[in-house]
Amino acid sequence: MDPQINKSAPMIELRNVSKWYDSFQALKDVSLTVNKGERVVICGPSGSGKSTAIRCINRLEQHQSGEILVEGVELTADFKNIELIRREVGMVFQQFNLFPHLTILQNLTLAPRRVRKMPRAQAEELAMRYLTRVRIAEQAHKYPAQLSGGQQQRVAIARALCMEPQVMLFDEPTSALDPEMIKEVLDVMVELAEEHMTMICVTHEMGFARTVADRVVFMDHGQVVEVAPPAEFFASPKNERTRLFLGQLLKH
Amino acid sequence: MGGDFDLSAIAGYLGMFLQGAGVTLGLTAIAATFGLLISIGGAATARWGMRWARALVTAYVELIRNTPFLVQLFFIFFGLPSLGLKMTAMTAAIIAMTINLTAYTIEIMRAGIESVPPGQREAGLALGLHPIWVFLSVILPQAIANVYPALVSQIVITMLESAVVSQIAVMDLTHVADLIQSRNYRTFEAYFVVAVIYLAMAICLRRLAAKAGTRLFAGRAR
Repeated sequence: MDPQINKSAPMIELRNVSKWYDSFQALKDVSLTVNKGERVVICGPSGSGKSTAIRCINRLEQHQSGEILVEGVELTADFKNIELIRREVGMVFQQFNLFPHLTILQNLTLAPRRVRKMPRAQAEELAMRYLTRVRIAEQAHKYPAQLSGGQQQRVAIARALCMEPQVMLFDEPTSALDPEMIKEVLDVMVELAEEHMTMICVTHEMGFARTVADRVVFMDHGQVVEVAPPAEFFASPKNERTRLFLGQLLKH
Repeated sequence: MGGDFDLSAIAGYLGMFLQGAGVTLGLTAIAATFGLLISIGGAATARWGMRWARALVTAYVELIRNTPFLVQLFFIFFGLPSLGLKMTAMTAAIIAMTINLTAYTIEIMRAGIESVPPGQREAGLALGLHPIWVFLSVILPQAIANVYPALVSQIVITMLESAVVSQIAVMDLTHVADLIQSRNYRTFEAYFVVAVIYLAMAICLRRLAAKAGTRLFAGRAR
């Protein structure tokens, strides 16, 4: 039987997810539920498993135990499930990962044309709509190498949006950017959040977490240590490790 | 011996030279077309295939790269008929050249695939593209662009090495020289002209490919 999406199920559910790289355990019993329209920021020191956790959601990494459900569909080795889930889940990477051999417009139309079988004209119209939204429409016919990092990341966001996903995953979207370009990317992400896109962002931008997130998740050593609304998370973190981490962030 | 170097002594054979050059170019074009197509599949198998399929590709590459082309050609043309596989000299030449070229281009193509950062594949998969489309639309074009000069070089080498097929009486450029010098004993002139034609073809091929390359891969540099 083909997998079916259940619209009343939570957007994403992780239940006791564990993952090992050989003998190293990258995720330890991670459980997290993200509801529709919710914006969740995951933070934590490097190597804490936060990127691994979101990369498991669209199967770029494979979890070895526990369950991951996207709109009620369980992520299994069955390629049908993986395909279905990847269509619902958009992802933005730290290194942008635009396709350098394609123009900006072709970067955006590739998946809608191949996956959604959209006619070219319609795919281009869709692409231009999203490029306009991230304020970069005038660059449509350039190649990625001709754009700045901030522009490339905005294109990457538009490319993911072209598949009209139900949820967006951001894997440290501003970490590879020069400081003066961070704001233009965050602005686009804030707009997206204001439109009630379900989002999971792995980021160190605590200002973004404070203003946008419904909940902040702190991970350390492959575990979810603390989950709280931002006001509470920043004002009175309960866990010692969270306090230590936030203290280190604020020192600079 | 013919004594003095005298090109006019073989001027009457110009048509034959050109015909031979045409055969050499044709053989090269066919071998390059099949060879490149097969090596895309071979390289993908070497990279992502099942263990037995990878072993098969490795065995093929090692076998061909570590035996002489002339022996491969003779094996196909003189050896296979004893197994009941008979073919014309031309067919044998095409098969031998393709098999030989492919072994080298698989390795080149594999290096090209490995030069594409893993983030490219991840981005394609994350967009919901089928792995086959990720390979064809995302990885392969970048892989080929990265190793394009090496591929061109290998095709030129194949063209030059194809002189060996004259040994099974395919009417290629080298065979034409053999024929002419056996008729008029103008050995030096015949091979001189043939050498110049090979040189011109090789240089033209490299130039044309370089030009096509800059047009094909324009604007893509990182």
